[in-house]
Amino acid sequence: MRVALIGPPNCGKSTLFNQVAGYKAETGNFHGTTVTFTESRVRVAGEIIELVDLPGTYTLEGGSPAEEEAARYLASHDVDVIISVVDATHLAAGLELTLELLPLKKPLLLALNMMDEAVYAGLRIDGQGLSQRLGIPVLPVVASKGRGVKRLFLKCLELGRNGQVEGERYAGEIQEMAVRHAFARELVQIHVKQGERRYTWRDRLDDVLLHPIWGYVVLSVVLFLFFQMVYGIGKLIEPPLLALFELLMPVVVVLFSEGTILSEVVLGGIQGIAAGAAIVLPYLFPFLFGLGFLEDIGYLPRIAFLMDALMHRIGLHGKAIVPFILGYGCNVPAVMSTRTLEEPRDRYLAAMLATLVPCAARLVVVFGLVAFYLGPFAALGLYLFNMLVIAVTGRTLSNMMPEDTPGFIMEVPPYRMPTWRNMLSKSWFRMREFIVEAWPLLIVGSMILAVLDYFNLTFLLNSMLRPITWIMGLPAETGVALIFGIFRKELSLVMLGQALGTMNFDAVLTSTQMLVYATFVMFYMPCLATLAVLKRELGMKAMLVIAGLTVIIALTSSLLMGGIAAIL
Amino acid sequence: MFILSFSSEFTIFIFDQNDVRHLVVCDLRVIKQNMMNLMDVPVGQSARLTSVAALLQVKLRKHGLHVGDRVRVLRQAPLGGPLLVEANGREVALGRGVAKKIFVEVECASH
Repeated sequence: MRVALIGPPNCGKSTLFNQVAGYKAETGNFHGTTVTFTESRVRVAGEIIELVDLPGTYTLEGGSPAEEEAARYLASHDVDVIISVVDATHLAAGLELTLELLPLKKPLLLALNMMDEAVYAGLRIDGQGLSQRLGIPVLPVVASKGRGVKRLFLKCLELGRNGQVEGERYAGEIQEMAVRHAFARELVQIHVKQGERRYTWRDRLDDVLLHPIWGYVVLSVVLFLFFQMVYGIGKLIEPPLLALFELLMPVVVVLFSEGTILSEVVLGGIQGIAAGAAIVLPYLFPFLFGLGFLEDIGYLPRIAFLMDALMHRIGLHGKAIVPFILGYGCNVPAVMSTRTLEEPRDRYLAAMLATLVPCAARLVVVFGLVAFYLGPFAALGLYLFNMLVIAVTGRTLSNMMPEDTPGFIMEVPPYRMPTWRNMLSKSWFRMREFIVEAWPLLIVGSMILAVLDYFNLTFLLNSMLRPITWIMGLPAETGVALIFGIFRKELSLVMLGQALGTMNFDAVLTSTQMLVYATFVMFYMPCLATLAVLKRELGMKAMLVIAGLTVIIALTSSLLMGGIAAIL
Repeated sequence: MFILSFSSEFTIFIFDQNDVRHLVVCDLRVIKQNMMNLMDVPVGQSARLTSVAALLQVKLRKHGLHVGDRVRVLRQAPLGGPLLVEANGREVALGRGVAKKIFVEVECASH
């Protein structure tokens, strides 16, 4: 028996699915986290049900990919029972879709999800009346707590066994969207008694979190704690992890004769694996987990609301704040997250700007060079300078790409208690993308580096980059470190030490040179993994344009930084 | 047709139709009042959506906002930020550019 779950975005479909099927669907308190459908086999009362989670949709006739997907699926596959999931607190929207499903003549169930929230909101829903009017069973559930889920699926099994549409279905005129909308509203008026719409705790919380002043104070504190948490956990896990690889390397090298190209390549590969492990496990996972928490609790849309005005100045809107926050961790998930933006222009611009955000690896360079030798305030200044450059770039680019979009429209959902299950499965989903897309490139890149190193091609690289390093007033030896930085950003510090022959940088570089070098590293060329993701998300041409632009921006801003440093 | 504009508040249209000369005096203040957009609605007030450009209508419908619906302006973000409105039990943030394109009529003042 095949059962399909359908409902508007954010109605708790995926939560219901996960409750029954385990950890498979990605859920979130944000729009459209399920882009393709997930299928799972479940055993209910001795019978096997194939449960399908369709992408969230308000209608089957809209033009978006998610809607087309859902409509195609219901039309093409042999679906035995359809469960229409609605958020009881937003009944009208869900009912519209339910009305659209009536003419399909398939066994249909209406699941009123989030009944607990409806009760809190003072809504009294007459399920029986609704059921009689529509001619389909109506069942209350609280998917997040598993309440009513069993009853729902037993009923579902019963309907599926009969295979027939039981009772008299509502047969009024419901072809037109506008008619359905009006009818759904009428149904809500009749069957839902609105107790006092009280000033709820949600309003009280929003009064603070969306406040013109306190909202931003809280936002700063939340983001500060967020990054503290990520780097705190990262610092705890990274050293022992790297130590483990240090132990491993000599063991592996012994297997090959030392000093040959083969052993160098193998070593390079292990270094790539180690670098990936040192980024993925300690930093990326807490980062994605924390973001998942902010998303599920409902804070992310509120950040978007608060930041919309600022983002407008750089030609984007509030939703595009997510790639920027992510960018400080790693540019790869940042570029991936631009998928949530609807307009191609916004995706392009946000991806471009997100690659300018200094990720954790570039933080290593800024801290190791600027903060260590010139003090924390110089590093802070560099970060502020980075934001300024991003703002100017965004402004300039958005003027070149005029906005023809209707602008910012975003649902602000109620606050919800996140579940461990959802947050873990979502973090895993996103991390898997990094592991599959970026990690292999890190490993291959490290191997190529080993070959370059083995054949001593550094001289060639240095002279190739001499025009750039000369303009910036940097020693020629920095060229090779910059090339290596394209493979992995933190290498632009590690290799700098190797190229200059000392890790004691203030002996070989002036403070201006350090600032100029750090500035250039902050902006130039996304790393190999980010380039790969840019190509996949936006195409080859966009990737090349973005890469070229970052070099221009890097040159201009580091020359500017050199000027500023000379004046100070 | 002649259009005589005396001030920002009054305009006079003169036109011939069926050999009859018509003279129409328009009080622009009345027209403007009827053509309020969502940005003009004070926080806490309700209004009814009257007209929206077709392309935008499709986008709004996805968030449960239809022409004829009653919306309440809940908040306004500072510094040119978006509006937060409530309609049909859902809360939606609308950028100012969007809000300006949504025309509304304000309901009885008691709301």
